[in-house]
Amino acid sequence: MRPGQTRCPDEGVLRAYLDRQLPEDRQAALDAHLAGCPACAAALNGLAAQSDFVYRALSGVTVPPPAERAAWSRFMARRATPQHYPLTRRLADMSQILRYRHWRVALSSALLVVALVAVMAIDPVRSAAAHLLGIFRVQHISVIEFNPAQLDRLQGYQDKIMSRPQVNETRPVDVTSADQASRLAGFQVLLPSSPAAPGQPTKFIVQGATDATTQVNLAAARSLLESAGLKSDALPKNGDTLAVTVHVSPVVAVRYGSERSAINIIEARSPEVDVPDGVDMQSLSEAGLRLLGVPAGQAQQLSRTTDWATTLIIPIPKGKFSVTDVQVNGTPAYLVHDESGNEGSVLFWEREGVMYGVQGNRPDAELLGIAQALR
Amino acid sequence: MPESKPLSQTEALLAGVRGGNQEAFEAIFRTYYGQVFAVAYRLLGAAAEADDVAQEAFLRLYRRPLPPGREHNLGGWLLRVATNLGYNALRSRQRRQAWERAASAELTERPDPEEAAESADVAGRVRLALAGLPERQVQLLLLRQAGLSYAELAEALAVAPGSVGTLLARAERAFRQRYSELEDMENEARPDPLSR
Repeated sequence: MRPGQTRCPDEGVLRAYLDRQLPEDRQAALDAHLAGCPACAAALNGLAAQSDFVYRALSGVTVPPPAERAAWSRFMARRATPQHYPLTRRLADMSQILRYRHWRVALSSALLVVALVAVMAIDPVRSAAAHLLGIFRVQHISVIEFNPAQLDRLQGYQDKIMSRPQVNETRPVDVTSADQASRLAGFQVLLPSSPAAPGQPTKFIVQGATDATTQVNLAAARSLLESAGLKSDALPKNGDTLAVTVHVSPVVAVRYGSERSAINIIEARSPEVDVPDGVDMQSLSEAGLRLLGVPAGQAQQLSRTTDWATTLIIPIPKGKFSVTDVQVNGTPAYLVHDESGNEGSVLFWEREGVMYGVQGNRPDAELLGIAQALR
Repeated sequence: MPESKPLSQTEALLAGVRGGNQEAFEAIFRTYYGQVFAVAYRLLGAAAEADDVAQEAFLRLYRRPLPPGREHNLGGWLLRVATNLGYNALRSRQRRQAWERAASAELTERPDPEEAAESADVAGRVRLALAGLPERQVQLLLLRQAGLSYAELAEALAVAPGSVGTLLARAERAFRQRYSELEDMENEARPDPLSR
């Protein structure tokens, strides 16, 4: 560089110069600099060649004509009645997943709220199977604490509203390795690596896909909503019953130790739910929150600010359980304690489409250690 | 990028949307859909999936108002959401395919020709290359290609405006490297007709 010249710019500035994205005076100053600096001129050529290469490759993808008008009709259909999609088939490819996402989680939050809360409050953390309902594939998990006295009101209705589910269950399969479990389950199964590994598993099963169908008594459901002072327009206007089917993907359960002192690890993808026509999932989710005693303002705000397509709100009964926000290797997680101290704690989180739970009657640090050692 | 409407016109449209004006939203949809679809298509390579991603991006806009101050970069916002959705879908699909390949290779002990086939054409190679980059780099490249200015890129991707040049140069370098590696791999996989 000769005396009187400006300093050589860094790569970022050169790149911006190449695209003429610098302020006028800066562009002009660099014009002058480049005229007398072979090093920068060469660097600029390099950046230009690189950029040309990249955008030529990207343009090499021939994009089919977008057909906006047809897309707009599809959009209107999707916006108005999302459950037109054929939800009875198992998800096989990504486009299906994108369509289902809206309602899979919302339904899980709403219709299964009662069952989930019942499981957590009545049959808490006692068996690995109990967590099945609590495991969904989501991107974000929120918890909301509620007054468990609300459960009493719901309990009386539960039998009237939903028939005993008819379950087509496959027998659990004993497996001996994470690889074998992964093949059966259809996702990468993780086990705690040494030195946190608590020995060899005493139980290692993959529960195959399960279907459960229940008949919902619409009259009873409407009456429950109305008795809580909620509108029942979230439900279909006509008809007596509603069939709801839940397809649960394979669940992997690993147990270390025995019975009361055991540590249970559960891994699963979310269930898929068949949403019948005429059910307004978003309103139903809001109603579900209200049924749990969440005040109207808060329930409304939650349903407005929550992206129901990607967020699951798990209700935690106050007094019986307490929830702490923690992290597992940088992923947000929830640690739920049983206040009575009998049933231990559950640590659960979601990562890359799989939900994980580590449960046991152990100190927090130990559960966290195992969770962080999952590989 | 389609020529940006004057700010007041976009504002009026968005106000109409918030007020439930369907015509206003349709105008926005018809203006930006093509570009959003194209970006998603580059990531996913299938029209139905690209349409899904595009529809989802518009649905998000429809359901919730843009954060204040974002109206003038509506296109950038839509593209960012679409690349985020598309990138996640692409990565999940790649993981699942790799998983299935590994599972079937274990059983059959034969090399799977699918991966070589995927990179045999430009579109496939672009997808594979993008799938191997961090998401922000993918967004930079695709949004720049869509014609966003550095200022629009900075805003859409929440980076300092002065850093766009550096980040873009790095992203281009990473893409080129990955793309060339894939080209090399594909050339190696192809049997050499002269070697018989």
